[in-house]
Amino acid sequence: MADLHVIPEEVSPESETPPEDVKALVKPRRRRTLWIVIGLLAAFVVYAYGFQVTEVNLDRISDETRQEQLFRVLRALAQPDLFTYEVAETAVDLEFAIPCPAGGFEPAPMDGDATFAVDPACADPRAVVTVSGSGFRPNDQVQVFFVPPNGTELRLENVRTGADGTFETEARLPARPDTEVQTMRIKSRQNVGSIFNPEQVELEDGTTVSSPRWSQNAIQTLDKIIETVFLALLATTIGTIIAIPLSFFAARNLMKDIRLPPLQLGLAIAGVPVGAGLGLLAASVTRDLVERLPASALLLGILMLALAWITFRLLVVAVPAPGSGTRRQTRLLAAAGAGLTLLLATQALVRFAQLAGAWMAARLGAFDFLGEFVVTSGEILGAVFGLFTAFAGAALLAFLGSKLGYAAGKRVSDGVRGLLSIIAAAIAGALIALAIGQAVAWLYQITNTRNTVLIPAIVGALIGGFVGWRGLRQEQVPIGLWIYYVARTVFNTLRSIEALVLAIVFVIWVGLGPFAGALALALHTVAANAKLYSEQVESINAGPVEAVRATGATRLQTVVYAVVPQIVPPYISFTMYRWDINVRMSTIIGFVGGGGIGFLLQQNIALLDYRAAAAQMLAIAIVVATMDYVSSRLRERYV
Amino acid sequence: MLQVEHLTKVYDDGTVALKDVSFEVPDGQFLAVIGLSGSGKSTLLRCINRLIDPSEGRIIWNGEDITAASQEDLRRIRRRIGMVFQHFNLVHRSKVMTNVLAGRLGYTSPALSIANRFSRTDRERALAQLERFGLEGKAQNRSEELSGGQQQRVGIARAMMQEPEMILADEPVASLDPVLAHSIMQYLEDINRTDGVTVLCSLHFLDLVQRYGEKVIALNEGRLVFEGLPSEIDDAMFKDIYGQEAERVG
Repeated sequence: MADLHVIPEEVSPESETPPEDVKALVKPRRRRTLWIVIGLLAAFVVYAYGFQVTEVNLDRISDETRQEQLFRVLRALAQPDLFTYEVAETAVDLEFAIPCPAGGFEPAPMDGDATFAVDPACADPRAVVTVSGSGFRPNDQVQVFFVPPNGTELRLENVRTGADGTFETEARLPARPDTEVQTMRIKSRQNVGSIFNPEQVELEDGTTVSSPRWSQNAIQTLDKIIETVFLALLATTIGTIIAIPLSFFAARNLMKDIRLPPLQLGLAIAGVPVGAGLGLLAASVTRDLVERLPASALLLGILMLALAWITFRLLVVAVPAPGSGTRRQTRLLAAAGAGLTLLLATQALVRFAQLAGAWMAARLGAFDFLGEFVVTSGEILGAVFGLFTAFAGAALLAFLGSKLGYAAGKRVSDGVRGLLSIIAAAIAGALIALAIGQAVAWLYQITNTRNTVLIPAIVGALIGGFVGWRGLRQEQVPIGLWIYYVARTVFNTLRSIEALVLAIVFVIWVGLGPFAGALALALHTVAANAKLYSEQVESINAGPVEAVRATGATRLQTVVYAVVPQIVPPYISFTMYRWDINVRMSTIIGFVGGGGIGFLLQQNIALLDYRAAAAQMLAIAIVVATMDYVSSRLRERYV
Repeated sequence: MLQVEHLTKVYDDGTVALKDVSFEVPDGQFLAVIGLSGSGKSTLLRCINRLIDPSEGRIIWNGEDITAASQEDLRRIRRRIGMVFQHFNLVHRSKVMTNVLAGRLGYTSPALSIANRFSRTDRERALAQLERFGLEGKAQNRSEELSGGQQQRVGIARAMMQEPEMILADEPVASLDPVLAHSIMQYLEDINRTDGVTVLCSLHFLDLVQRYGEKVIALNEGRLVFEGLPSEIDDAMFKDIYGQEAERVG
């Protein structure tokens, strides 16, 4: 507040009219001070409220019983359950009598270092006696037993020895009067061997084991941490494979130049559903064709390679260098042929993987999981391929639609083109609205077709027509930017959903276990990495892109020669980093049943077995630290 | 023959980069383009191969209207126009060989080039270009390992891979020291004289213009303010081009 008073004094001018710039300098300072004070007051209120809602309470921190509990947990955590020891038991016996015989009782003297005495030396049943000993191991847990003649050990007390190896405790005798001399026994237990110096121990059944050895908990922890690392690896791989192509759609610098006239755009969008349907059909037809072939891995393998080679040769004919003079009909024919052979080659690969995998699994014995992997990979490829052909068909028909639009637009007058544009845009709008309508209908189980088909189609057509009409004036619709915004929105939405929540969804779908966790992390990886990758694409040096475009390269060539080389290092770096993150996340995923070490950790915490939980936490720490080290070294090398 | 007619470029933000620029370049000429930074030199060169789409006007090259070309025609036109850049614009992490071969992309089937397959002739041609520009033995080096002068020579080799009829050089020596500048300019001069390639080269320094330029055009704030021989630029003309406060250096 002092500032507020000082400033006016500084301002008070000697001259009647201070220069304009001085006024301008002084006035805002006063206001700024006021703002700082207001800001501080606001911060005071904010933090006061924050303290209240978070229940900040110093009394609880200093509460002694709570501290005691905390220390117990901390001590348990400091002793992770990693080893089991064989236990050597030592017993020291002293004669005792219940009740005291007529002539009194004097026990035989004890020999050895550890001795103890009972006071009185004999007593009635249920009497309280004092047991005191010396020469025991310091700070050790010992047990006081009463042993009647039949040899049953009745435990009376547990007691801890002091730093000098002595102890003293009171014990209530059992109601076991007997005429014979009975026994008081002190037992102490000691772990055999140390981590640094294991010992061979003979068990009661005659076998020898070394002590200490890994505990059950340690073995489980190792098992699960390996599962965790591989879960994260799988999730990262799947996520990255999907994220890389998607990331290009979310890169502004690649998308902003993609513009189409409304006529081309409208026909392209109209081509999408047709193409997707045809793609699916093509996939199923070729699959049936390949499945009719004899089930021989060798034959299918050769067929696959041959088809792949033919595809490549046909592609070269179909997409020649500009101005090569290849006739259009030849090119179209070659393109169609390449598409067909590619479909057949992939279906052959799917079959080949299944047959070869089964063959491997039958012969590899302990390594049959390699064969299983090939079979499953083939199945995944087969399943994904249907989806892929649908996309490819959609892309192809969209491309053809756009070409058709271009050709048609050149041949007709401006007025007709305008009309066609509006019609095409209306069809496109209706299709998009229909798709949205169907999604809504499915989600909310609406069966009324008027609401899910008719109305969306009409509204979509109107909006599409309007956009087409508007687009006529600017001649080009910035479709690239639209796709960019949609992609960005989807990634951001998906990214904001915690992997934990995704894991719950996938647990419902595929059941408890690491597979659910891997899928959840993979989905999260797609969203997170697609965004990171696209930002890398956006920050590339535009110079080489320009240079490659200037040589007459196509858009795809430009991406391959100028964009990809620039983004490989950051992509590797981000993928490594994501693996690192996924390992850490997969520990949490286990809490909801997503497999991995988190499952074990959560179980042990719930059982209050902090020593076991500590082992798992240690394993996580070691793996995360190792991953961090390895990934930073790899990044250094490749970036 | 390159004919530029009433070329105007207005950027989306309203900046007028070129205003009604017209000139002609006969085949085989070495044309120097001068002007201050921001006078529209770069925009002009990029309009010629349509890295930037002009707003108005036409560019006719060998009778073909570049401004009206379809995407496919444009690629065919672009591959006959080499381009050399101030910052070399090489892909740093790619090998020199890959950068040079990129000049053939316009001649290669997209399907083949995506698999990084170039014909034996193309590879031999690339090695020959490297040799011509004094880069023997550098083919397998990463481009970023080369010095500035070497990088620019790789850039020229890439342009020459296109078997160009015209080269657009956008301040090719502005990032190099004077000795290297002359070496690069001599390569461009050699390409112009020996191979008969038309060269449009934007330059900062007047001594380079007078040493290498056959003809000069000057731009000031997007307008063509001078068209003539290098020797015709006297002090009065210089001040017209560069402004009244400018001093001649070099």
